[in-house]
Amino acid sequence: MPNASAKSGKSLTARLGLRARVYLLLGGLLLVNMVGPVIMILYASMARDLYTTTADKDLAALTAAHELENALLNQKGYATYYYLSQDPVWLAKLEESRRAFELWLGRIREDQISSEADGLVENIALAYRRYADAKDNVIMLYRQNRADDAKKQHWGLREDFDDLRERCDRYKAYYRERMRHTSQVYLERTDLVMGVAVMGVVLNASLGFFLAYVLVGQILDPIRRLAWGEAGKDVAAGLSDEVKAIGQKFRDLEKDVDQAHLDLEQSRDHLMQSEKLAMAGKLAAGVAHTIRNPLTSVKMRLFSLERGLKLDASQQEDFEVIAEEIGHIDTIVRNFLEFARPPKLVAQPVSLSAVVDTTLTLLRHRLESYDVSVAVERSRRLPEISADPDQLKEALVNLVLNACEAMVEGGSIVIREETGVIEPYGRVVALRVSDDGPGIPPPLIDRVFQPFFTTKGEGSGLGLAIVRRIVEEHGGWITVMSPETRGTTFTMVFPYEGERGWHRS
Amino acid sequence: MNRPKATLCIAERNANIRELLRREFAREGYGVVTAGSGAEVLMRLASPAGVDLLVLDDEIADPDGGSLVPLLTRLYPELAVVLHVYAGADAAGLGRRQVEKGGDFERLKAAVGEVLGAKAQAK
Repeated sequence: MPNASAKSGKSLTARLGLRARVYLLLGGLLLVNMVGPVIMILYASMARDLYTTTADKDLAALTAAHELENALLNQKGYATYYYLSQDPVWLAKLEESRRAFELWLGRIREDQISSEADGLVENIALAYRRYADAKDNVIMLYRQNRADDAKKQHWGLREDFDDLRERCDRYKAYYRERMRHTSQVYLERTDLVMGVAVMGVVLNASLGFFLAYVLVGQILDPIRRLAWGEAGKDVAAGLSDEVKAIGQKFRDLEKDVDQAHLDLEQSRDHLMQSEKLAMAGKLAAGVAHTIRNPLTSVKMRLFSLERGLKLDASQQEDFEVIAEEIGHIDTIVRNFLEFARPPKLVAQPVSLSAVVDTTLTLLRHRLESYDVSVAVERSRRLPEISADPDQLKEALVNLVLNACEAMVEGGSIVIREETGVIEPYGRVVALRVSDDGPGIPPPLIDRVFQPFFTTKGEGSGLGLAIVRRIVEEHGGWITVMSPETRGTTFTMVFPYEGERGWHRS
Repeated sequence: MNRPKATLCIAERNANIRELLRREFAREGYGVVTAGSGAEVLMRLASPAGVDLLVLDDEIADPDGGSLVPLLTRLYPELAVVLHVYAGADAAGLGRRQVEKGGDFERLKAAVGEVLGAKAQAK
């Protein structure tokens, strides 16, 4: 069962969102702070009413009873003084005292609050009437000089006086009891108000604690973590700084989103380009495969023809042109097939410097025929990377021959070997192939790596596309620069783990 | 030196290449039979006249569409074969002699001569 209740508590917390929890706690605090004072005002008002109505009346009744008793005591003395002095002044004072008694008795009768009190007063009034009549009779006997009878009756009046005084005491005791009861009721109500106040304080403190817990634990701490990361607990910064930091984070986040969006667009473009390439590759392979067989037949027949043919100069020239053009077709077909063939890298540790040397050895005769000189700028041999040397050789051959064909009447090529660091890729090795040819016009420079794009009459438009594919299969990339349309530099860059050279971000 | 020349089977899909090779090898004094498909190759090899060497176009497939070389290796393990393949082709040569198919057929002639010479020496 405790588990069940804990679970239901958790689900309740989960159902109440943060906003609902904060509102609930604030509402609770407001309610306690409103209801508490209202209850206290109510009880204070009730206590005041208790005093202004009941306690004041009781006090007045008690005072009146006291005055009655005083008047009664005076009457007792004045009759005796008259007997002793025979002076009628005492009778006048007696009469005055009786008027006072009647006055107080009248007041008491006006303010009676219960039948019990009323009964007590009526008893006093009855007994007083009897006592006053008896006293009048005694005075009359004194006046008639019947002193013996008067003394006798006067002595008997003592019992009536004591009875009357006892009734007055009973009346006073009744009101004392009432006052004690009122006082007790007042105390009880005061205790209740204090209890309500204590409960209010406890409720206030509890709700305040939970509100603080929710504010700190679920709002301020997350804000701080958001602003400063997990190290936020150790950072003594104001809320304003945290809000600024969050603002900065959101701005950074927006930048990241923009960058991610840009990357995504580039990836999409790249994907579309790759799909186009794949389709072009399939097409090229199909065409090349179909052409290759008859082309080989033509080449063989030409070879056969060449052995026994006796041609004059112009016929010989025609023959050579035919052979040359067939050679071009053969190159195009081979490029098509090479482009379409799925990559099969046979990676091994190889230095690009070795690739450069082998390529230049292979191309020596071709370079001579193009009247192109090649210079290699190498401070020391490039470190080894994991790569397919044949593929890299093919890429470099394509770049060098491309440069040779670009420089119509010979020229020079410079191959620079470099190492360095490019963020975020890290360490890289690079080969720059620069020629001093006419360069690439700016509108065309973005298209040079596109398959089937060529400015040469007999080109397949696949040479540079193949180079780029080989470089990218090795995890690298290739760029081209042709400043002010004079000379062109192709740069192949490959990442590697090794020593540092230049650094660029 | 008067030993009769060997009989070759020229297996080539392209009829013009096939005919050229037939002519060239016949001119060299070889007995030549030709085949344009896998089924024809198997038929020639099964004939009583027999074949000393097979010049096989790598693109000729067996009756199931696969490479003909494994089947030939299984059926005729002793048969001398020169594979005539395009550059860059991934030929399943299984250790057979390969010659790149191009305009210059003299290389093919030389390879055939070498394989037959090696075979004669082995006997």
